[in-house]
Amino acid sequence: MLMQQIINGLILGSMYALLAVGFALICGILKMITFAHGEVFMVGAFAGLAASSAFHVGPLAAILTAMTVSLVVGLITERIAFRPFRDGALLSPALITIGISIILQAIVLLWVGADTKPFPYDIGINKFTIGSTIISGIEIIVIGLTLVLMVALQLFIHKTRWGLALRATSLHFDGASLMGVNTNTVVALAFGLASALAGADGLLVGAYYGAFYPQMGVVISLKALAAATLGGITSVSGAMIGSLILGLIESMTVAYLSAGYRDVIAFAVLISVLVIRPSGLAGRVEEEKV
Amino acid sequence: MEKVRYGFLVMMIAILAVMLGGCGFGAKSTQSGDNALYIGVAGPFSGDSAEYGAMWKKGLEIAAEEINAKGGIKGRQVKLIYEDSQADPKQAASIAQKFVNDERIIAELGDFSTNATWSASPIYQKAGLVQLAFNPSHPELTRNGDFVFQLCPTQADQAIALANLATDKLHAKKIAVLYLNTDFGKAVKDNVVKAAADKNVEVVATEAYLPTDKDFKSQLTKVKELDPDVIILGSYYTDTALIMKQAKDLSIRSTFIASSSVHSPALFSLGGDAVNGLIALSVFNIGNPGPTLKNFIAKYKEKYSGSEPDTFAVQAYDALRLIANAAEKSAEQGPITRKSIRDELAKTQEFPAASQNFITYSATRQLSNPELFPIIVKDGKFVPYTL
Repeated sequence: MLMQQIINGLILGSMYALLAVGFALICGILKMITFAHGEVFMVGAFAGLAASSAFHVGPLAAILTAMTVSLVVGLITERIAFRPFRDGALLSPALITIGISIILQAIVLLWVGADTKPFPYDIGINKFTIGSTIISGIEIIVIGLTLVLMVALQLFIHKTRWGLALRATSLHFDGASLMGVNTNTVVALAFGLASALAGADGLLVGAYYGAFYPQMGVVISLKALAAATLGGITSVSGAMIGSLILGLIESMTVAYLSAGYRDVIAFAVLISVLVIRPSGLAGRVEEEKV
Repeated sequence: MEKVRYGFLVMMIAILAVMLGGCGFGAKSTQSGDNALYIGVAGPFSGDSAEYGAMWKKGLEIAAEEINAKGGIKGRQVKLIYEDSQADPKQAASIAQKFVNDERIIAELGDFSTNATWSASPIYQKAGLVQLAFNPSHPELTRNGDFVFQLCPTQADQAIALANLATDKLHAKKIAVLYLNTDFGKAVKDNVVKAAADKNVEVVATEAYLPTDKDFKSQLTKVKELDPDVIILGSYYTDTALIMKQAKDLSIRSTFIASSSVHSPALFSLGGDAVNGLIALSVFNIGNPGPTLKNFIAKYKEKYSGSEPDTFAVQAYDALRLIANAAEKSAEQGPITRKSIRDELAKTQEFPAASQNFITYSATRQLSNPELFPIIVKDGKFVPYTL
């Protein structure tokens, strides 16, 4: 059973990871939080669902649709909530994103209805049994796709010029601007990347569970935020590690304790880590330079 | 910067104004002179349980049309006032305040969940307005007072039936319970554990999950280890579909049994093949429908393009008709008041219904002698399960 629970935990962790790195990107650069990320995830999921069921496109096209729609929603969020407040109040953007999240949920609810929608294609067919552990084809796809996207993101951040611009802006916003980096574009880039990943994650999660509904982003985005915080909110690789750890903690708690304690233990671990190491596991310790 | 702030402020006020204005128009067109009888409906029309509220509406609309087509109650039309509680106890309570203060409302239908119902009950009881909570199945639902009525067979009855199915029909030696961590789910679990103890069946595991959970792999993996013959679910149809799909992924061989809350065609679109073999209880008799049920199903199919009704729609339909019946009886003896509705409703005897063939209320305002009909999923349909 242990191996099976580990796989369960890794799958959960992968789903959190794609959202968590989005939080790391956004929080790392802007030092601000967006509460609309779960809804960006959800809108992307529905876009992919619509593409698959109404237009019968293949899986790749569906994911690209999801990513594109989420990208647009994310950029709009950035423009409304964050850009006007670049020098201003610290709390306003976060509050505005709460409003955007409510509006998006309500719009989708009115548009598609309250009932949970299934995914039109049957995907969980192939199962591989190794000993007493079962892993299905779709689970391999989820983990695999997450890995691919994570690797691509890391390569982007560390090996390209735009990635360099991202890292520079994240280290020191004004300094990067002084060095000739177009910070507006970099912020849009960070938001766009985060949102596109969220959209892809939305479609993956929805297809995996076969359940699409307007609230689908609420709980998972909170968990992803917790995972990103656990790993270090400013660090992309930290967010990935934090997500996997969170997923494993959750499934181990259910396995060896009781399902009712799952969230309690997960968040207790988060709090303990933050108490011991406030910047998270892999986060940068920011020194205050006068 | 100032310009941005100012423009922003204006925009927010404009949005607020539109939203408030929109809210005002939708709710009730009050012509204070009209003769209609108003019934308040408090339920989840948005939020996590909105899909069930949507089914309510379908059943209620058919009942209202039927009643009004026959001329209403002694010539008075029946009108429904919907308020969205999101099945949240706080909102249920504030809607209760609103309803009791609206003098046109003669009775209330709802809420969806036990805890939302309980939070509103004291308000209805104190004001003397009937609260017919036709959905929840908690055995103690009506404990807050004599204005609170129930329509669904309680978990006490259902759990015994579920345990009987497991032992007598399926000869299970070990069962596990997977349940929603709400009053409803816990009522299922508690009553099943009790019924199982009475039958000497071993309960190997009881695992809870939150209403927002979609991933049950960890709980299922743990339960699989213990290899129960039967898994009893304290769930609604959405979570049941997901649970069974994930159980199929894990190659779990146990038979699943669930309560009446899963009886909905939505189970199939969400669950696909994975739900085949699920045994459940139905509150209405699909194997041998009585005339009222036949009529309802036919009207439902006609109005909603061929789809079949589920537990939620059927009970909503019956609930409104029960109130209308109480109002008719009351009108025969004098003016219709909130108290007279309550009294007549409590006296309901052998009322022909779509869910139970005949409804009679007991002294605790619950169904006397409720009938439960076992059903099983075969090839993507619910068929009667013969014991």
